[in-house]
Amino acid sequence: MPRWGMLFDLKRCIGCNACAVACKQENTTPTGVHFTKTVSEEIGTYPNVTRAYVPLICNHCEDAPCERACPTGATYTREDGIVMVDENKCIGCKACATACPYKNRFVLKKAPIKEGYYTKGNITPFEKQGYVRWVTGTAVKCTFCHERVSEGKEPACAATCPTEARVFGDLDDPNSKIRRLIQARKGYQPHAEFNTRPKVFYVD
Amino acid sequence: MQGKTFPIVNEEFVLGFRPQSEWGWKIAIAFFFGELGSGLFFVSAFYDFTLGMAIGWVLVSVCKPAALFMHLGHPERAWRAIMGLGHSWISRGLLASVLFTGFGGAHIINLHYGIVTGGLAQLLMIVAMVSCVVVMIYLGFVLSYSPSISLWGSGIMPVISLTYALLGGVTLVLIFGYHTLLADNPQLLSTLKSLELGLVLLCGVIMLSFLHGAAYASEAGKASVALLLKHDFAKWFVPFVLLVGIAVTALLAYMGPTSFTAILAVAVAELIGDFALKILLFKAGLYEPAIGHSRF
Amino acid sequence: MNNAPVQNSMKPGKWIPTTCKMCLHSCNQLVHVTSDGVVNKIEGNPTSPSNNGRLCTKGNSPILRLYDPQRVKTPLKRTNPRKGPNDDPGWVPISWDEALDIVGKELKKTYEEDPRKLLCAINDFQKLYLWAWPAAYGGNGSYFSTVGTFCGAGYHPMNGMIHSTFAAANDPYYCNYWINNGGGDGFSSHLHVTAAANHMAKARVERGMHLVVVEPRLSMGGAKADEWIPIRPATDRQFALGVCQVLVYEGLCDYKSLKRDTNAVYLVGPDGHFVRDDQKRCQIWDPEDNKAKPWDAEDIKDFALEGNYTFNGTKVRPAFQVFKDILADCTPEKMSKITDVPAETIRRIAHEFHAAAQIGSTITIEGRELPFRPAAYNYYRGAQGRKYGTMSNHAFKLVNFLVGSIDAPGGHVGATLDDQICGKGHILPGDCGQILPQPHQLGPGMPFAYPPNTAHLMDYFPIGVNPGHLIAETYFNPDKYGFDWKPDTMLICHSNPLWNMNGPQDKYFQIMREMRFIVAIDILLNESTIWADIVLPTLDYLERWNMTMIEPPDTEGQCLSQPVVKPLYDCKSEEDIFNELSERIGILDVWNEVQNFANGFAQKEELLLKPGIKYGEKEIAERKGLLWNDKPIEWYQEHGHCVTKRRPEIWYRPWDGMRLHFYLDYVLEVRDDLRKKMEEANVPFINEWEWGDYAALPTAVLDPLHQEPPEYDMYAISFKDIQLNFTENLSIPWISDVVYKDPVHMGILINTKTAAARGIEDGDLIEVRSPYGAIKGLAKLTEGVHPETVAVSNALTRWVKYHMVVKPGGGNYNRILPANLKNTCACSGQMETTAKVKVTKLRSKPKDAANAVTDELTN
Repeated sequence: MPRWGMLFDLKRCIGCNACAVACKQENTTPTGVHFTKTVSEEIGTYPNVTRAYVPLICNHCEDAPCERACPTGATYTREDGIVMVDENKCIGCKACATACPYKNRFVLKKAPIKEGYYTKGNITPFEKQGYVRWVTGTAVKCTFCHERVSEGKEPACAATCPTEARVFGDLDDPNSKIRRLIQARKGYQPHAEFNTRPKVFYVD
Repeated sequence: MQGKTFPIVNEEFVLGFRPQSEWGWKIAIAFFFGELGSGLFFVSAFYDFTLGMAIGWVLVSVCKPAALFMHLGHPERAWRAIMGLGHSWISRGLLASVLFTGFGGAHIINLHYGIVTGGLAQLLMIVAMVSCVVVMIYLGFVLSYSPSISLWGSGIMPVISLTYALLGGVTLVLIFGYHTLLADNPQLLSTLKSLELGLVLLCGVIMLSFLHGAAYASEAGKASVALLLKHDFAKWFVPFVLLVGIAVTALLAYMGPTSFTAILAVAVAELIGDFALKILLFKAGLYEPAIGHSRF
Repeated sequence: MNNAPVQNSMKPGKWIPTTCKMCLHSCNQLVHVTSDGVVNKIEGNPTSPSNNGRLCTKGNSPILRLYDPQRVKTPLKRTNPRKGPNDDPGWVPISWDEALDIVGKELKKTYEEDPRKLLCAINDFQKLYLWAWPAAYGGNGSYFSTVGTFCGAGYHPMNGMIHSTFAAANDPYYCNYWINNGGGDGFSSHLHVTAAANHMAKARVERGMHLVVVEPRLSMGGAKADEWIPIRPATDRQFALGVCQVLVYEGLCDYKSLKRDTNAVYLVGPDGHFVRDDQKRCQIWDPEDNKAKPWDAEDIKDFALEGNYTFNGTKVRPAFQVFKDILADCTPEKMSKITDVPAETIRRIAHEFHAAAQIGSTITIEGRELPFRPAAYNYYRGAQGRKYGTMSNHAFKLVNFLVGSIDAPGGHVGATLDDQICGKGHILPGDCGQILPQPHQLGPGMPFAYPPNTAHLMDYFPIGVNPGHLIAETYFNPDKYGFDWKPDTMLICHSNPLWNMNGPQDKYFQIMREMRFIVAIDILLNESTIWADIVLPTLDYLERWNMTMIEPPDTEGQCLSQPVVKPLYDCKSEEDIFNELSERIGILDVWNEVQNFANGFAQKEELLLKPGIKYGEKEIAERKGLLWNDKPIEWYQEHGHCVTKRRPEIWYRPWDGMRLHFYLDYVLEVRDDLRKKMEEANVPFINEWEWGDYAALPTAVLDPLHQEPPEYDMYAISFKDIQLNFTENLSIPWISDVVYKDPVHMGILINTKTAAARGIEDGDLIEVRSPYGAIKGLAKLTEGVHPETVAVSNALTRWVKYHMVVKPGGGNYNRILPANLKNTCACSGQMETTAKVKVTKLRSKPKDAANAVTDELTN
C-alpha cells in the first residue's frame, strides 16, 4: 500500500496558479473554494527584494487535527494516507476548518452553487455535470484527486504544473522521485512544530 | 534580509495571517448561553435555588442548541456529533450536554417535587453537576485544540470558560435570586457579591495571562492580540471586555450598594464584557501563515 | 452508496486531441468529453515535446469560454443608431442570411467606391491567413489596431534581419547564463509560455542555469532569478550598450565568430554605408597584407575588426570599429547615470556573461560541430518598445553578437512563425555573402505611395510593422498627409482595437462614431465590438477546425484543432464568414489566390485552392497538414499534432557559411530609398520623418519620452503575467478569480518609499497622468518596483462593464501613451510604450473602491 504525498519545489514554482484552475476544472469546485492555490510573499526591501511563490494544499497530515476535531467521524484517513470527508456523515459544524492549522478546509455554501461561476444563476453545462457531487453545508477538501490516483494518474494540479513544481508520489517508496527529492534537497514540512506530520513537503 | 512580519490577508493569494471566519456570531452566542447557563445552574445548585437552575437549564438545553442548530450545515444529522468521543471535544461536550439536559432537568424536577430520594437523588445530582462542569469548560477545550490559532490554542482556554461561567452564574443568581433566595439573606447577598468581585478579579488576571500568553506564543498570536488591543477590534475589546466587563464590574461589585439597581448594573456590565469577549475571540482568531517562510 | 466517479476526468467519456487557443500560441491538449457530450476537463497532451503535457492558467480554462453564457449566440443587428462608449446598441438577433447580406452589401459599396476606405482589425493569430483578406479586398489593409506593433514593430523586423525569423528566444537546452531584459520568456509571457516555463524551470533547477533579470518591476521571472537588476524604465538599450562597452573595450568578444559569421569586418565609409569596389563588392581590411580586399577574395589572411584605414581615398573603418567608436561614449559609468544600474553591476554582468559564453568551445550535435555559446541575452516588449525601436532591438542582438551566441547552441536563437508560410523562415542568400534581410515576416511589405494608400501610413515604413496608432494623426489631419480619401467602413475580427491602441481614446471614439458601417466578427462582445452595426458570431475553438504552427521557440510542426462538441449556438467559422462575404463582394477567387500564397499552398500544386469554390475551415486545415508532412487530416485527428523538437540543422546556424548583419547597412539603404521616393513625390511631411531612427548601429541617445516636462517626474509601465498572457481572459471566472486575488493585479504598483514620500498609502486612490492622458486606480505598495516607476497590470485596463465577471479598471493604460510621429520609430513604426507621469493622491482608502476606480467615459 503506498502512502501518497506531494512535494513543492519552491525554486520551480512561478505562482501562475495553473494548479488552482486545473483543480477547479477537475473538481468543479464552486466560486470561493480552492482546494489548492499558490500564494506569494514579498521578501526584503528594494532593491534587495524577491518574491516567493508558495503552493498550498491539504497536507493530508498523519495526525490530522481536522480528523481529531471532527465529532462525527466524517473525516477519515484512507489506508493510502489520503484524508477524506464523508459528505453523508458531515454535519457542517466547521470544527475541522478551525482545527486545520493550514486553513485548507472549506464549507460549501449554497449561494455559489446556485449562482454559478457567472453569477445570477447562469449555470453552465460544465457546472451542471459537476455540482452534483456537492452536498451543501458540508466540509470539503482536497482529496489528492483520489479517483485519478487510483487509476494511476497524478492529481490534476501536479499533472498540469508548467514548471513541474509539484511532485506527487509514494512516501514509503525509497526510490520514488518525491523521496529522492526530499532527501537530496532537504525537504521540510509546513509547521512541523505542530506535530501534525504532514505528507506535504517543500524544498527551497 | 529583514525579518518583517506577515500581513493579515483575507481572500488574496498572499502569505500572511488569515482571519478565522468559519465560526462566527452563532457559535459565540451558543458559547455565551452554554457557559452562562451551566454557570448559573452550577452556582444555583449549591443553594438548591431551583429558579436559577431552571433558567440555567433553559439556557443550556434550549437557547444554546438553538444557536448551534443555526450554525450547523446539516442540523438534521446533529446526532452524529456523538460519534467522536474518543478524540473530539465537541462529541464529549455533546454527551455532557445531553446528560445535563436529562439529569439536570430531572434533578431540578426532583428538587422541586421531591419525587425520589436517597441514592437515586444523589446520582441525579452528581451526574447533573459533573455534566454541568463539563458543559462549562468543554468549549474552552474545543477552542484550545486549534494549533494554528494561537489566540485560542492555549491551555488557559478551559480556565477562561470556567471562570466566566462561574462569574456569569454568580451574576445571574444575584439577579434572579435578589427578590427570592437573597431577599431574606443579606449575608448570602454579601457573600455572592464578594464572590463576584473575586471572580471578576480572577477574570482580569486570567485575561492578562491569556493575552500575554497569546502574544508570546507566536507571530499570529501577537497579531491577534494587536487586533484586540491596538487595531481593528481595540475599539470593542478595550472598552467592553476590559473596562466595562472587568474594571467597571469589579468597581461596582466592590463599592456599589446592594440595591437591586446597583446589582443590576454589575450584572449588565459583567454580561456585556462576557458577551463581547465571546464575539471577539472568534473575530480576532488568526491562523499562522500556512507555511512559516520568512527565514531571510 | 453511489460509486459513480465525481472527478471530471474520471467520468465516462472520451479524450479528443486538440490545440489550445487561449493565447496566440498552440499548446497541445486532450479534451475530455463526457458520454453526455459535455466538455468537462482539458489537459495537456503528453505526446507533445512542446508543452510536455502541461498547461498554463489560461490553458486550463477554455471550458468556461466555450460555455460562457455571454457568448454571441446569433448574428446581431444594432437598433440604436447612436454610438458611444455608454450607449446600449439595442441588439436584435437576425438570421445569418440577413446579416451576411447586409454586411456583404455594405462592404461591396465601400469596395466599389474605394477599397482603401475599409479599416481593418483582423487579429486572429492562429488563422494568420485571415490577416491577408484585406489584400484580396484590394485596400492594402488600413489598420485600426496596433497588433504586432505593440509586441514589436521594432522586434519582428529586427529578427527578420538578424535571424530571418519572426521571433527569437534563448536556447533553454544548453544556455547556462540567461539574461532576460524586459521580457517574460520562460515565465509570464511571450512565446509558448507553458512550454517555455517548463524548459526554463528544468534549465534552472536541473542544470543550474544562472538567470539575470533586468527590468523595472520584479516580475515572476525577476522573482525566480538569481539576480534581479532593477532598471529605470526605457533605458534598457543603454544598459545593453554598457555591457557591450565592457565586452569590446576589455577584449571579451568572440573575434573568430565576428570575423567569420558577421559583416562586422566590412569597411564602412564616412556616409555610413559599406564601401564597395567597382563590382559593388563590400570590402574588408586584411591586416596581414595591410590592404583592403573584396569580402570574398581568396587570399584573405585575416580580417581587421578594428582600426582606421583608407580605401580609394576615403577614410574607412571596419563596422566593428564603428561600433567601438560609438561605445567610447557608453562607459558603464555613463550608462549607470541613465539606467540607475550601478556601473560595477554593468561591468560584472558583462564579465559573467563573457565567462559563461565559453568562447572558443564547440559542441557536436547530430554529427555537426558547432560553436557552443551557453550565454544569451533575451529581451522583449518592455525593453524594446521604444521610439528608437530599431536601435533598441539591435543593441540587445549586439550583446549576443559580441560573444558569438546568435543562433549558437546555448545562445540566442531565431524562432520562425510557420516554416510553411511561403518564403518566410528560410535563410536566403543576400548581398555580398550576407543573409537576405527579411523584415516582413507576416507578409509582403507595403510599396511606397503618395498620396498614401493606407490610413496608418504603412507606405512609409518599408521595414516596419503596421503602426495602427497613427490613424488618429492622419484621420484628423488628412490635408497634412495628402489624403484624398477617408476611411468610412470598419471590419473587426477577433480584436479589441479601442483597447489595444495607444493614444487618444476620445479620438478613436470619434473615428468609430463616424464610420458609415462597422462589422465585428468575434465570439464575445468587447469595448470595440459594441460599436458595431452587425456582429457575426464565431465558433469557439472547441467547436471548429484549424491547423496552426505559430512561432514555437524550440519545437516545430503543425497543431490541429478539431470540433470536440457540436456548435452550441448559431455561429460560423471565420472561413465561412469570409468566404460568404467575399462571394457577396465578388472577390472570392482573389481571396482563394491570396490564401494560396498566405498558407504556402502555392508550393504544392495539388493543394491549390481553385477559383469559384468556398473552402471551409476543415479543408484549409487539411491542406496545411498535408503541406507540412503529407499526413491526411484523419492522422491529425488521431494524433492532434506532429510537434517535434526543432531540427538542429534549421535551428542552429541555418545560415552557416553566410554572414549575419552585425552592421545594418541594409537599414541605411532602405532609408535612402525611402527618402529619395519621398523627395521625388514631394511628400509634404518629409521633414517630420526622423531619419536618425534608421541606424546601422545603435547609440545611447535618449528616447524622447525622457524629455517630457519635469513635472512628469515618474515613469509608468504596463505588464502582463502568465494568467493574462497576450490577451486578457478576465471574462473567464476562473481567471478573474485568481487574477483579482494576486496582489500585483490588485492596484497600481508603486514603491513603498516613493509612496511614503508622497503621502500615499496602500489602497489610496491615485491618479497617473501623462502629457497625453490619465488613469486612476488604487495604490498597491510594493518593494518590487523601481522607485521612479508605477506599474499597471493589464488586468486593470477594462473600462466597460460588458461582462459580468470583468471588473472595470480606472482607465486603459494605453491612453497615457503618445500616438504621434515624434514618439514613433520612423524606421520600424514602433510606438513608445512607457510614459512619463505625475502621480497624485485623489482620496484616502476609498470605502467604495470598486466605484472609485471606475472610469467615467463621456459619450
